[in-house]
Amino acid sequence: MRRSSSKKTGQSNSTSASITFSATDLFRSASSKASSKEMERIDNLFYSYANRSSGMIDPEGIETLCSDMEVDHTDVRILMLAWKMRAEKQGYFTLEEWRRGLKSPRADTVNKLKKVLLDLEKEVKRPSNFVDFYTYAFRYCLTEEKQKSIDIESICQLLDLVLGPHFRAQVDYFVEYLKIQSDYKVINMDQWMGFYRFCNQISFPDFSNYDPELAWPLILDNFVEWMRAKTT
Amino acid sequence: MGCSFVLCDDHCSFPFFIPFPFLGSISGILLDVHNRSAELIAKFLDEKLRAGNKVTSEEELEGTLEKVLVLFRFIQGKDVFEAFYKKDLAKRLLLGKSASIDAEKSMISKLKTECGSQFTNKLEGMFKDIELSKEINESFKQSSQARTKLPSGIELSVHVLTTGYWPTYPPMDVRLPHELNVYQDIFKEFYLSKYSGRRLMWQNSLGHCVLKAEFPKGKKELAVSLFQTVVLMLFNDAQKLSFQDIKDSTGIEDKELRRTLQSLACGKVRVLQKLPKGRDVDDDDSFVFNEGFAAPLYRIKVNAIQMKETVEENTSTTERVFQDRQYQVDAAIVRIMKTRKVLSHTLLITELFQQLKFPIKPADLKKRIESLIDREYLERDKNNPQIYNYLA
Repeated sequence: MRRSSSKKTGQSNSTSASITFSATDLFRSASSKASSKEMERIDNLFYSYANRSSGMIDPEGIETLCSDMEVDHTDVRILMLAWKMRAEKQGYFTLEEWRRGLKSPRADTVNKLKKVLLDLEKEVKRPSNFVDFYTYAFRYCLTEEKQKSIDIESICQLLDLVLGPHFRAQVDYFVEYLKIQSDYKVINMDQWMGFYRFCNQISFPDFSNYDPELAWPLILDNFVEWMRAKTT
Repeated sequence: MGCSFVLCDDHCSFPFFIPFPFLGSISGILLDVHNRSAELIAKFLDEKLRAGNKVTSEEELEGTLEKVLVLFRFIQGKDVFEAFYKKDLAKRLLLGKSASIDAEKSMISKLKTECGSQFTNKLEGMFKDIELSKEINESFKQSSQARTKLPSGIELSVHVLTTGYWPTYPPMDVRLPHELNVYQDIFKEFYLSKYSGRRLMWQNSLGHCVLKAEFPKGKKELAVSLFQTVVLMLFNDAQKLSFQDIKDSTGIEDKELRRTLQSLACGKVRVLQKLPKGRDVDDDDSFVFNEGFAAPLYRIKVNAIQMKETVEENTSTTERVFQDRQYQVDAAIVRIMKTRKVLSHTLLITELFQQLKFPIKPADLKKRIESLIDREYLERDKNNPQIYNYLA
């Protein structure tokens, strides 16, 4: 179904959208009349938070959205929502992304959105989705065009948020290590993914099956050495 | 490595984090502080090959060189040795401090037999430059530029060095007195008229002069470095100068200037006097021409500081070698991966140890591999993280 909405400048939250149907759409329109209304409401929900001049939901809008949903804006579920939307730019949601994220759960009201967040947690936890979400989380934090790495401080927060609930001990120790080491000032995607593999494969806290002669990122070799020194 | 910071302005509150974007990869210096044997052996050779040390017969010197070669075979980091040897050889050649050119050449040919010509190519190039410079200086003396523009009584000789052969000398600022600038320009005009299209860069830190000085107790000739010359010439126009005055007039970098002034006012030969007296040069010090200077010899050497090495020099020589090793490792990894296309980590490490001629730790190899992954020369295989794929 194609639709084009025209926003008249100077008017707030234009609810008049012109809808154009193609032939095939008309055929389905009977059953989809309900869903087209839904799409409209989903869009309207978007516009109620969007910035008028940019046509996107910006950080301020997200904060409002979060308070409406009674969720803290640093909550991991917002990151999950962004993942569901495949949002490209941190702190912003476009209409397309909004629709993508909210269409299948059909969240057209704030209350339904709240439910979406609950379901999202379960969805992300599924092994097939988690790696994707974990990878997405890193990429989402690359805000500059050619940026490939994230600073230690932010990585620590991100790890805690995204991986903490699953591997609490590993994350806590690794974060502690990251803060005291001085070899690396930033973490790249390879190291990020390496740590995930590490948590999944390596026996903790004994590291009995860890072999630094294998292709583990060097930062993990150093981490294991540091941990071993701590326990002796 | 470049870093750029983005400050978020207070109006936008990001929902998640405010990362400072860093660009670039982590570069580590492969520093093996225990590998001083190469440096020490090079220093030993320098002492033996330098003029003015224990008088040894040609036979004795040859014998010593042979013994050193035996030790040389055990040196793991031969590139470190080469860097130090080259640096010391350069000083000997430029300051005319070689005990015997034959002995120098004998050492080079021993190294060549031992390590191949690639090792000694640059060293041999240095000798060529010295010999060529002699010819150039002869032509210069006969040239119209020298005969018409150079004041009589001024003897100017220039060593022209080919950049690739000689050690890299950090550019050292100095404001030369007008006359010296003129002499440099006269030579430059002559040289470029013979060899057009070349770029000449004056290495003022290596220059040295013989100054005629009139002391009340007798005329003297002082063999000094160019920097010492610049300082001394200031006293042609002033009786007393403060440290700051000298610094402003000469433009010489602080540490270097202090060293220079120390050599003129605080050592055995004091052509200047420091007020107040003392070993070190402090910010508030002043200097005066030493009226009371006396010495038994007519010609006096005060340029010893150029032959001495500073701690910084030695550190930077070693660092440069290690930096160079980094490039070699990178090149080897890319070369191997380009051929094999797909290779496991352990096999890559094995091949690298076979190819690289200097000692290196597996951790350092990992660092370079990761740097290359970051720069997208290779990637970790998606299905097996123990395997690397070459990225064309």
